[in-house]
Amino acid sequence: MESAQDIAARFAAKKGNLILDMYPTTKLMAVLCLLLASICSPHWCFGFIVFAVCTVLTAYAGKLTEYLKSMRIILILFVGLLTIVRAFFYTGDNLHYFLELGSLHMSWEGVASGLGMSSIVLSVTSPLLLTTKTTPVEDIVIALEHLGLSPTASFLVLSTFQMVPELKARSAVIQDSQKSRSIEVEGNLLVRAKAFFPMITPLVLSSFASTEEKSVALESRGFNYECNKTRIRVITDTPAQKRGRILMGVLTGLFCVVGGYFKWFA
Amino acid sequence: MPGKSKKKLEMITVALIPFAVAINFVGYFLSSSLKLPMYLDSIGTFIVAATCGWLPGLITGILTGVLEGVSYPPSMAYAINCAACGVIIGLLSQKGWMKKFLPALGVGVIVTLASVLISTPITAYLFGGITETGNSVVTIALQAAGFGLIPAVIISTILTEALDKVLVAVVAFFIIKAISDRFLSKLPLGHLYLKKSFAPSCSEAEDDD
Repeated sequence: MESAQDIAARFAAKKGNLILDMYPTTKLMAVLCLLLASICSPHWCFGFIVFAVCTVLTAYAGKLTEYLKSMRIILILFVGLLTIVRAFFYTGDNLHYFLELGSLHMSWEGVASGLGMSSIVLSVTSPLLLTTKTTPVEDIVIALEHLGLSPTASFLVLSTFQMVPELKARSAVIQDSQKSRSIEVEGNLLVRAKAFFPMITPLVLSSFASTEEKSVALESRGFNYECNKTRIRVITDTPAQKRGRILMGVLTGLFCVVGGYFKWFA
Repeated sequence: MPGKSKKKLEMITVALIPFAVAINFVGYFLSSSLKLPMYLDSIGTFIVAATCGWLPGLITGILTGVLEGVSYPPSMAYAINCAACGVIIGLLSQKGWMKKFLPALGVGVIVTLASVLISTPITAYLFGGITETGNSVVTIALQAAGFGLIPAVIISTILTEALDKVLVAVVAFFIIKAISDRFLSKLPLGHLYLKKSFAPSCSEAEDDD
Protein backbone atom coordinates (compact mmCIF):
# COMPACT_ATOMS: atom_id res chain seq x y z
CA MET A 1 0.00 0.00 0.00
CA GLU A 2 1.32 3.48 -0.91
CA SER A 3 2.45 5.52 2.09
CA ALA A 4 1.57 9.19 2.53
CA GLN A 5 5.18 10.13 1.65
CA ASP A 6 5.00 8.09 -1.58
CA ILE A 7 1.71 9.77 -2.59
CA ALA A 8 3.18 13.22 -1.83
CA ALA A 9 6.33 12.36 -3.80
CA ARG A 10 4.18 11.25 -6.77
CA PHE A 11 2.31 14.57 -6.80
CA ALA A 12 5.56 16.56 -6.42
CA ALA A 13 7.39 14.66 -9.20
CA LYS A 14 8.47 16.83 -12.10
CA LYS A 15 7.10 15.96 -15.54
CA GLY A 16 10.22 17.12 -17.37
CA ASN A 17 8.29 19.74 -19.38
CA LEU A 18 8.96 23.46 -18.84
CA ILE A 19 5.28 24.43 -19.26
CA LEU A 20 3.79 21.58 -17.23
CA ASP A 21 6.29 22.10 -14.38
CA MET A 22 5.96 25.89 -14.31
CA TYR A 23 4.68 27.30 -11.02
CA PRO A 24 0.98 28.32 -11.44
CA THR A 25 1.55 31.87 -10.14
CA THR A 26 4.02 32.47 -12.99
CA LYS A 27 1.38 31.46 -15.55
CA LEU A 28 -1.33 33.59 -13.89
CA MET A 29 1.06 36.55 -13.75
CA ALA A 30 1.71 36.08 -17.49
CA VAL A 31 -2.06 36.24 -18.16
CA LEU A 32 -2.36 39.50 -16.21
CA CYS A 33 0.71 41.05 -17.86
CA LEU A 34 -0.50 40.12 -21.35
CA LEU A 35 -3.94 41.63 -20.63
CA LEU A 36 -2.41 44.95 -19.57
CA ALA A 37 0.07 44.92 -22.45
CA SER A 38 -2.66 44.20 -25.02
CA ILE A 39 -4.78 47.13 -23.76
CA CYS A 40 -1.79 49.48 -24.14
CA SER A 41 -0.44 47.95 -27.35
CA PRO A 42 -0.59 50.43 -30.26
CA HIS A 43 -1.00 47.69 -32.90
CA TRP A 44 -3.62 44.95 -33.28
CA CYS A 45 -1.07 42.28 -34.21
CA PHE A 46 -0.03 41.93 -30.52
CA GLY A 47 -2.89 39.58 -29.67
CA PHE A 48 -2.30 37.42 -32.73
CA ILE A 49 1.41 37.06 -31.85
CA VAL A 50 0.39 36.05 -28.29
CA PHE A 51 -2.05 33.48 -29.74
CA ALA A 52 0.65 32.03 -32.01
CA VAL A 53 3.17 31.78 -29.15
CA CYS A 54 0.61 30.20 -26.79
CA THR A 55 -0.36 27.66 -29.48
CA VAL A 56 3.29 26.65 -29.87
CA LEU A 57 3.77 26.40 -26.09
CA THR A 58 0.58 24.33 -25.70
CA ALA A 59 1.78 21.99 -28.46
CA TYR A 60 5.09 21.65 -26.59
CA ALA A 61 3.11 20.76 -23.43
CA GLY A 62 1.16 18.12 -25.38
CA LYS A 63 -2.32 19.69 -24.92
CA LEU A 64 -2.83 21.13 -28.40
CA THR A 65 -6.06 19.30 -29.30
CA GLU A 66 -7.98 20.43 -26.19
CA TYR A 67 -6.58 23.95 -26.53
CA LEU A 68 -7.66 24.30 -30.18
CA LYS A 69 -11.07 22.79 -29.42
CA SER A 70 -11.74 25.63 -26.93
CA MET A 71 -10.09 28.30 -29.11
CA ARG A 72 -12.13 27.35 -32.20
CA ILE A 73 -15.35 29.08 -31.07
CA ILE A 74 -13.36 32.10 -29.85
CA LEU A 75 -11.59 32.46 -33.19
CA ILE A 76 -14.85 32.13 -35.14
CA LEU A 77 -16.84 34.56 -32.97
CA PHE A 78 -14.35 37.04 -31.57
CA VAL A 79 -11.97 37.29 -34.49
CA GLY A 80 -14.00 36.42 -37.59
CA LEU A 81 -17.52 37.64 -36.78
CA LEU A 82 -16.42 40.56 -34.59
CA THR A 83 -14.10 41.96 -37.28
CA ILE A 84 -16.78 41.65 -39.98
CA VAL A 85 -19.44 43.29 -37.79
CA ARG A 86 -17.14 46.17 -36.76
CA ALA A 87 -16.09 46.63 -40.41
CA PHE A 88 -19.74 47.07 -41.43
CA PHE A 89 -21.03 49.13 -38.51
CA TYR A 90 -18.03 51.24 -37.46
CA THR A 91 -18.91 54.92 -37.30
CA GLY A 92 -16.52 57.81 -37.63
CA ASP A 93 -15.31 60.63 -39.91
CA ASN A 94 -13.41 60.13 -43.19
CA LEU A 95 -13.89 56.39 -43.40
CA HIS A 96 -12.31 54.53 -46.33
CA TYR A 97 -14.81 52.04 -47.71
CA PHE A 98 -13.66 49.08 -49.78
CA LEU A 99 -16.81 46.91 -50.06
CA GLU A 100 -20.50 47.61 -50.54
CA LEU A 101 -23.33 45.18 -49.75
CA GLY A 102 -26.66 46.89 -50.37
CA SER A 103 -26.90 49.77 -47.91
CA LEU A 104 -24.01 48.42 -45.78
CA HIS A 105 -20.40 49.49 -46.33
CA MET A 106 -17.19 47.92 -45.06
CA SER A 107 -14.42 50.29 -44.00
CA TRP A 108 -10.71 49.75 -43.31
CA GLU A 109 -11.06 51.70 -40.05
CA GLY A 110 -13.82 49.26 -38.98
CA VAL A 111 -11.59 46.30 -39.81
CA ALA A 112 -8.75 47.83 -37.75
CA SER A 113 -11.16 48.44 -34.84
CA GLY A 114 -12.45 44.86 -35.02
CA LEU A 115 -8.92 43.45 -35.14
CA GLY A 116 -7.95 45.65 -32.18
CA MET A 117 -10.79 44.26 -30.05
CA SER A 118 -10.00 40.71 -31.21
CA SER A 119 -6.38 41.28 -30.22
CA ILE A 120 -7.37 42.03 -26.62
CA VAL A 121 -9.67 39.00 -26.44
CA LEU A 122 -6.93 36.73 -27.87
CA SER A 123 -4.29 38.19 -25.51
CA VAL A 124 -6.33 37.07 -22.52
CA THR A 125 -8.00 33.88 -23.72
CA SER A 126 -4.88 32.24 -25.21
CA PRO A 127 -2.66 32.33 -22.09
CA LEU A 128 -5.68 31.62 -19.86
CA LEU A 129 -6.54 28.48 -21.81
CA LEU A 130 -2.85 27.52 -21.87
CA THR A 131 -2.84 27.84 -18.05
CA THR A 132 -6.06 25.90 -17.46
CA LYS A 133 -5.16 23.11 -19.89
CA THR A 134 -1.61 22.62 -18.56
CA THR A 135 -2.17 23.13 -14.82
CA PRO A 136 -4.38 21.00 -12.55
CA VAL A 137 -6.93 23.10 -10.62
CA GLU A 138 -5.51 21.77 -7.35
CA ASP A 139 -2.08 23.25 -8.16
CA ILE A 140 -3.60 26.65 -9.04
CA VAL A 141 -5.50 26.68 -5.74
CA ILE A 142 -2.40 25.70 -3.71
CA ALA A 143 -0.41 28.48 -5.40
CA LEU A 144 -3.18 30.95 -4.49
CA GLU A 145 -3.15 29.62 -0.90
CA HIS A 146 0.58 30.43 -0.76
CA LEU A 147 -0.41 33.98 -1.76
CA GLY A 148 -2.94 34.18 1.08
CA LEU A 149 -6.16 32.56 -0.16
CA SER A 150 -8.08 31.07 2.77
CA PRO A 151 -8.63 27.29 3.05
CA THR A 152 -12.41 27.97 2.92
CA ALA A 153 -12.04 29.63 -0.49
CA SER A 154 -9.82 26.71 -1.65
CA PHE A 155 -12.49 24.25 -0.55
CA LEU A 156 -15.20 26.23 -2.37
CA VAL A 157 -13.26 26.23 -5.64
CA LEU A 158 -12.18 22.57 -5.53
CA SER A 159 -15.54 21.29 -4.31
CA THR A 160 -17.31 23.18 -7.10
CA PHE A 161 -15.09 21.57 -9.75
CA GLN A 162 -15.90 18.13 -8.31
CA MET A 163 -19.61 18.84 -7.87
CA VAL A 164 -20.50 19.90 -11.43
CA PRO A 165 -19.91 16.56 -13.23
CA GLU A 166 -21.46 14.69 -10.26
CA LEU A 167 -24.67 16.74 -10.41
CA LYS A 168 -24.81 16.55 -14.21
CA ALA A 169 -24.73 12.73 -13.98
CA ARG A 170 -27.42 12.81 -11.28
CA SER A 171 -29.61 15.12 -13.39
CA ALA A 172 -29.37 12.70 -16.35
CA VAL A 173 -30.66 9.90 -14.06
CA ILE A 174 -33.51 12.11 -12.78
CA GLN A 175 -34.34 13.12 -16.37
CA ASP A 176 -34.69 9.45 -17.39
CA SER A 177 -36.76 8.55 -14.35
CA GLN A 178 -39.12 11.51 -14.91
CA LYS A 179 -39.50 10.56 -18.59
CA SER A 180 -40.47 7.04 -17.47
CA ARG A 181 -43.18 8.72 -15.32
CA SER A 182 -44.67 10.17 -18.54
CA ILE A 183 -43.31 13.69 -18.12
CA GLU A 184 -43.53 15.11 -21.67
CA VAL A 185 -40.22 16.53 -22.91
CA GLU A 186 -41.14 16.84 -26.60
CA GLY A 187 -43.70 19.20 -28.03
CA ASN A 188 -44.39 22.91 -28.00
CA LEU A 189 -42.54 25.44 -25.82
CA LEU A 190 -45.09 25.31 -22.98
CA VAL A 191 -44.93 21.51 -22.73
CA ARG A 192 -41.11 21.56 -22.63
CA ALA A 193 -41.04 24.43 -20.11
CA LYS A 194 -43.45 22.51 -17.83
CA ALA A 195 -41.01 19.58 -17.84
CA PHE A 196 -38.22 21.74 -16.40
CA PHE A 197 -39.60 22.08 -12.85
CA PRO A 198 -40.08 18.34 -12.09
CA MET A 199 -36.54 17.73 -13.35
CA ILE A 200 -34.71 20.40 -11.35
CA THR A 201 -36.63 20.17 -8.07
CA PRO A 202 -35.70 16.57 -7.04
CA LEU A 203 -32.08 17.36 -7.88
CA VAL A 204 -32.01 20.50 -5.73
CA LEU A 205 -33.85 18.95 -2.77
CA SER A 206 -31.65 15.81 -2.76
CA SER A 207 -28.56 18.07 -2.87
CA PHE A 208 -29.61 19.66 0.42
CA ALA A 209 -29.41 16.30 2.22
CA SER A 210 -25.83 15.86 0.92
CA THR A 211 -25.04 19.42 2.02
CA GLU A 212 -25.99 18.67 5.63
CA GLU A 213 -23.79 15.56 5.70
CA LYS A 214 -20.89 17.46 4.14
CA SER A 215 -21.07 20.32 6.65
CA VAL A 216 -21.09 17.83 9.57
CA ALA A 217 -18.11 16.01 8.02
CA LEU A 218 -16.18 19.29 7.65
CA GLU A 219 -16.94 20.35 11.25
CA SER A 220 -15.93 16.95 12.64
CA ARG A 221 -12.56 17.21 10.86
CA GLY A 222 -11.82 20.63 12.39
CA PHE A 223 -12.07 22.48 9.07
CA ASN A 224 -12.75 25.81 10.74
CA TYR A 225 -9.99 25.51 13.34
CA GLU A 226 -7.17 28.02 12.99
CA CYS A 227 -4.00 25.97 12.92
CA ASN A 228 -1.31 25.00 10.43
CA LYS A 229 -2.88 22.88 7.72
CA THR A 230 -0.97 20.05 6.08
CA ARG A 231 -1.21 19.15 2.42
CA ILE A 232 -0.46 15.94 0.59
CA ARG A 233 -0.02 17.82 -2.67
CA VAL A 234 3.05 20.07 -2.69
CA ILE A 235 4.20 22.46 -5.39
CA THR A 236 7.47 24.33 -5.21
CA ASP A 237 8.39 27.75 -6.46
CA THR A 238 11.93 28.39 -7.62
CA PRO A 239 14.07 31.54 -7.16
CA ALA A 240 14.48 31.71 -10.96
CA GLN A 241 10.68 31.87 -11.41
CA LYS A 242 10.37 34.52 -8.69
CA ARG A 243 12.97 36.65 -10.48
CA GLY A 244 11.19 35.92 -13.78
CA ARG A 245 7.89 37.23 -12.38
CA ILE A 246 9.53 40.44 -11.17
CA LEU A 247 11.14 40.89 -14.59
CA MET A 248 7.75 40.23 -16.27
CA GLY A 249 6.13 42.92 -14.15
CA VAL A 250 8.86 45.47 -14.92
CA LEU A 251 8.82 44.76 -18.67
CA THR A 252 5.01 44.96 -18.74
CA GLY A 253 5.09 48.29 -16.94
CA LEU A 254 7.62 49.68 -19.44
CA PHE A 255 5.64 48.32 -22.40
CA CYS A 256 2.41 49.85 -21.06
CA VAL A 257 4.05 53.27 -20.64
CA VAL A 258 5.73 53.31 -24.07
CA GLY A 259 2.89 51.55 -25.92
CA GLY A 260 0.25 53.67 -24.21
CA TYR A 261 2.08 56.86 -25.21
CA PHE A 262 2.14 55.84 -28.89
CA LYS A 263 -1.45 54.55 -28.77
CA TRP A 264 -3.15 57.53 -27.12
CA PHE A 265 -0.86 60.55 -27.20
CA ALA A 266 1.44 60.36 -30.23
CA MET B 1 -6.91 23.65 23.15
CA PRO B 2 -4.64 23.46 20.06
CA GLY B 3 -6.67 25.92 17.93
CA LYS B 4 -9.81 27.98 18.18
CA SER B 5 -12.85 27.82 15.95
CA LYS B 6 -13.57 31.12 14.21
CA LYS B 7 -16.86 31.20 12.31
CA LYS B 8 -16.92 33.45 9.27
CA LEU B 9 -19.46 31.88 6.89
CA GLU B 10 -21.70 29.23 8.44
CA MET B 11 -20.34 25.77 7.68
CA ILE B 12 -23.61 24.72 6.06
CA THR B 13 -23.41 27.77 3.77
CA VAL B 14 -19.85 26.83 2.79
CA ALA B 15 -21.07 23.30 1.96
CA LEU B 16 -24.11 24.66 0.04
CA ILE B 17 -22.28 27.09 -2.27
CA PRO B 18 -20.58 24.42 -4.49
CA PHE B 19 -23.96 22.69 -4.93
CA ALA B 20 -25.52 26.02 -5.91
CA VAL B 21 -22.83 26.62 -8.57
CA ALA B 22 -23.34 23.09 -9.87
CA ILE B 23 -27.14 23.67 -9.96
CA ASN B 24 -26.50 26.78 -12.09
CA PHE B 25 -24.69 24.59 -14.62
CA VAL B 26 -27.29 21.84 -14.48
CA GLY B 27 -30.07 24.43 -14.99
CA TYR B 28 -28.36 25.56 -18.20
CA PHE B 29 -27.76 21.93 -19.22
CA LEU B 30 -31.46 21.00 -18.68
CA SER B 31 -32.62 24.14 -20.48
CA SER B 32 -30.44 23.23 -23.49
CA SER B 33 -31.62 19.61 -23.54
CA LEU B 34 -35.28 20.78 -23.39
CA LYS B 35 -34.45 23.34 -26.13
CA LEU B 36 -35.83 26.26 -24.12
CA PRO B 37 -34.96 29.78 -25.37
CA MET B 38 -33.58 30.74 -21.94
CA TYR B 39 -30.36 30.14 -19.99
CA LEU B 40 -31.90 29.26 -16.57
CA ASP B 41 -28.34 29.29 -15.25
CA SER B 42 -28.81 31.27 -12.03
CA ILE B 43 -31.23 29.08 -10.03
CA GLY B 44 -28.50 28.14 -7.56
CA THR B 45 -27.49 31.78 -7.09
CA PHE B 46 -31.12 32.74 -6.36
CA ILE B 47 -31.59 29.93 -3.83
CA VAL B 48 -28.31 30.56 -1.97
CA ALA B 49 -28.72 34.34 -1.93
CA ALA B 50 -32.34 34.07 -0.75
CA THR B 51 -31.61 31.58 2.04
CA CYS B 52 -28.07 32.50 3.10
CA GLY B 53 -27.60 36.19 2.30
CA TRP B 54 -25.83 38.52 -0.08
CA LEU B 55 -22.25 37.35 0.59
CA PRO B 56 -22.89 33.67 -0.30
CA GLY B 57 -24.85 34.97 -3.33
CA LEU B 58 -21.84 37.05 -4.38
CA ILE B 59 -19.46 34.10 -3.94
CA THR B 60 -21.78 31.78 -5.91
CA GLY B 61 -21.97 34.30 -8.75
CA ILE B 62 -18.20 34.76 -8.90
CA LEU B 63 -17.51 31.01 -8.78
CA THR B 64 -20.07 30.40 -11.57
CA GLY B 65 -18.34 32.96 -13.78
CA VAL B 66 -14.87 31.60 -13.01
CA LEU B 67 -15.91 28.00 -13.67
CA GLU B 68 -17.54 28.93 -16.98
CA GLY B 69 -14.37 30.82 -17.85
CA VAL B 70 -12.18 27.73 -17.46
CA SER B 71 -13.60 26.20 -20.65
CA TYR B 72 -14.75 29.45 -22.29
CA PRO B 73 -12.63 32.41 -21.03
CA PRO B 74 -14.86 35.27 -22.35
CA SER B 75 -17.54 34.14 -19.80
CA MET B 76 -15.25 35.24 -16.99
CA ALA B 77 -15.92 38.86 -17.89
CA TYR B 78 -19.56 38.29 -16.88
CA ALA B 79 -18.65 36.97 -13.40
CA ILE B 80 -19.17 40.49 -12.09
CA ASN B 81 -22.73 40.41 -13.49
CA CYS B 82 -23.48 37.10 -11.75
CA ALA B 83 -21.94 38.40 -8.50
CA ALA B 84 -23.99 41.62 -8.59
CA CYS B 85 -27.19 39.61 -9.16
CA GLY B 86 -26.34 37.48 -6.10
CA VAL B 87 -25.83 40.60 -3.96
CA ILE B 88 -29.13 42.18 -5.10
CA ILE B 89 -31.10 38.98 -4.47
CA GLY B 90 -29.51 38.59 -1.01
CA LEU B 91 -30.25 42.18 0.01
CA LEU B 92 -33.86 42.03 -1.22
CA SER B 93 -34.38 38.63 0.43
CA GLN B 94 -33.26 40.05 3.78
CA LYS B 95 -36.21 42.45 3.44
CA GLY B 96 -38.51 39.48 2.80
CA TRP B 97 -39.01 39.91 -0.95
CA MET B 98 -38.70 36.16 -1.67
CA LYS B 99 -41.38 35.20 0.86
CA LYS B 100 -44.34 35.84 -1.41
CA PHE B 101 -44.92 35.25 -5.14
CA LEU B 102 -45.44 38.81 -6.42
CA PRO B 103 -42.43 40.33 -4.60
CA ALA B 104 -40.37 37.34 -5.89
CA LEU B 105 -41.41 38.34 -9.43
CA GLY B 106 -40.28 41.86 -8.51
CA VAL B 107 -36.87 40.45 -7.55
CA GLY B 108 -36.69 38.85 -11.00
CA VAL B 109 -37.47 42.18 -12.69
CA ILE B 110 -34.92 44.13 -10.60
CA VAL B 111 -32.24 41.52 -11.26
CA THR B 112 -33.05 41.73 -15.00
CA LEU B 113 -32.52 45.50 -14.98
CA ALA B 114 -29.27 45.19 -13.03
CA SER B 115 -28.08 42.43 -15.37
CA VAL B 116 -28.79 44.58 -18.45
CA LEU B 117 -27.03 47.58 -16.85
CA ILE B 118 -23.89 45.62 -16.00
CA SER B 119 -23.58 43.27 -18.97
CA THR B 120 -24.26 45.88 -21.69
CA PRO B 121 -20.91 47.75 -21.36
CA ILE B 122 -19.07 44.41 -21.14
CA THR B 123 -20.73 43.06 -24.29
CA ALA B 124 -20.47 46.33 -26.22
CA TYR B 125 -16.99 47.62 -25.33
CA LEU B 126 -15.14 44.38 -24.66
CA PHE B 127 -16.74 42.09 -27.26
CA GLY B 128 -18.21 44.53 -29.80
CA GLY B 129 -21.73 43.20 -29.23
CA ILE B 130 -20.76 39.59 -30.01
CA THR B 131 -21.66 36.77 -27.63
CA GLU B 132 -21.74 33.00 -28.07
CA THR B 133 -25.55 32.99 -27.84
CA GLY B 134 -28.25 34.00 -30.33
CA ASN B 135 -28.10 37.56 -28.88
CA SER B 136 -25.40 38.32 -31.44
CA VAL B 137 -27.84 37.76 -34.32
CA VAL B 138 -30.39 40.13 -32.76
CA THR B 139 -27.69 42.75 -32.08
CA ILE B 140 -26.38 42.55 -35.67
CA ALA B 141 -29.92 42.75 -37.10
CA LEU B 142 -30.70 45.82 -34.97
CA GLN B 143 -27.44 47.49 -36.02
CA ALA B 144 -28.27 46.78 -39.69
CA ALA B 145 -31.67 48.42 -39.05
CA GLY B 146 -29.89 51.59 -37.95
CA PHE B 147 -29.59 51.20 -34.18
CA GLY B 148 -26.32 52.14 -32.50
CA LEU B 149 -24.21 49.46 -30.78
CA ILE B 150 -25.31 50.26 -27.21
CA PRO B 151 -29.07 50.45 -27.94
CA ALA B 152 -28.84 47.23 -29.99
CA VAL B 153 -27.07 45.39 -27.15
CA ILE B 154 -29.54 46.74 -24.55
CA ILE B 155 -32.57 45.59 -26.56
CA SER B 156 -31.16 42.13 -27.32
CA THR B 157 -30.08 41.65 -23.68
CA ILE B 158 -33.50 42.70 -22.32
CA LEU B 159 -35.25 40.27 -24.67
CA THR B 160 -33.32 37.27 -23.30
CA GLU B 161 -32.68 38.32 -19.69
CA ALA B 162 -36.24 39.43 -18.86
CA LEU B 163 -37.86 36.05 -19.47
CA ASP B 164 -34.86 34.17 -18.07
CA LYS B 165 -34.45 35.98 -14.73
CA VAL B 166 -38.17 36.26 -13.98
CA LEU B 167 -38.64 32.53 -14.65
CA VAL B 168 -35.62 31.68 -12.50
CA ALA B 169 -37.04 33.82 -9.66
CA VAL B 170 -40.34 31.89 -9.90
CA VAL B 171 -38.57 28.50 -9.96
CA ALA B 172 -36.39 29.50 -6.98
CA PHE B 173 -39.46 30.74 -5.07
CA PHE B 174 -41.25 27.39 -5.45
CA ILE B 175 -38.10 25.38 -4.68
CA ILE B 176 -37.58 27.36 -1.43
CA LYS B 177 -41.23 26.67 -0.56
CA ALA B 178 -40.54 22.93 -1.00
CA ILE B 179 -37.50 22.90 1.34
CA SER B 180 -38.23 21.32 4.72
CA ASP B 181 -38.44 23.52 7.83
CA ARG B 182 -35.76 21.33 9.41
CA PHE B 183 -33.22 22.34 6.79
CA LEU B 184 -34.42 25.96 6.51
CA SER B 185 -33.93 26.47 10.26
CA LYS B 186 -30.19 25.83 9.77
CA LEU B 187 -29.73 28.48 7.08
CA PRO B 188 -28.92 32.11 7.97
CA LEU B 189 -32.08 33.52 6.30
CA GLY B 190 -34.09 30.28 6.52
CA HIS B 191 -36.22 31.66 9.36
CA LEU B 192 -37.93 33.95 6.82
CA TYR B 193 -39.38 30.97 4.98
CA LEU B 194 -40.43 28.68 7.85
CA LYS B 195 -43.93 27.34 7.26
CA LYS B 196 -44.68 27.00 10.97
CA SER B 197 -43.86 29.54 13.63
CA PHE B 198 -41.97 27.98 16.56
CA ALA B 199 -41.96 31.14 18.71
CA PRO B 200 -44.32 30.95 21.73
CA SER B 201 -47.29 33.28 21.37
CA CYS B 202 -47.86 36.10 23.90
CA SER B 203 -51.08 34.49 25.23
CA GLU B 204 -49.22 31.23 26.00
CA ALA B 205 -46.59 33.20 27.95
CA GLU B 206 -49.31 34.98 29.93
CA ASP B 207 -51.04 31.67 30.74
CA ASP B 208 -47.76 30.34 32.17
CA ASP B 209 -47.58 33.36 34.48
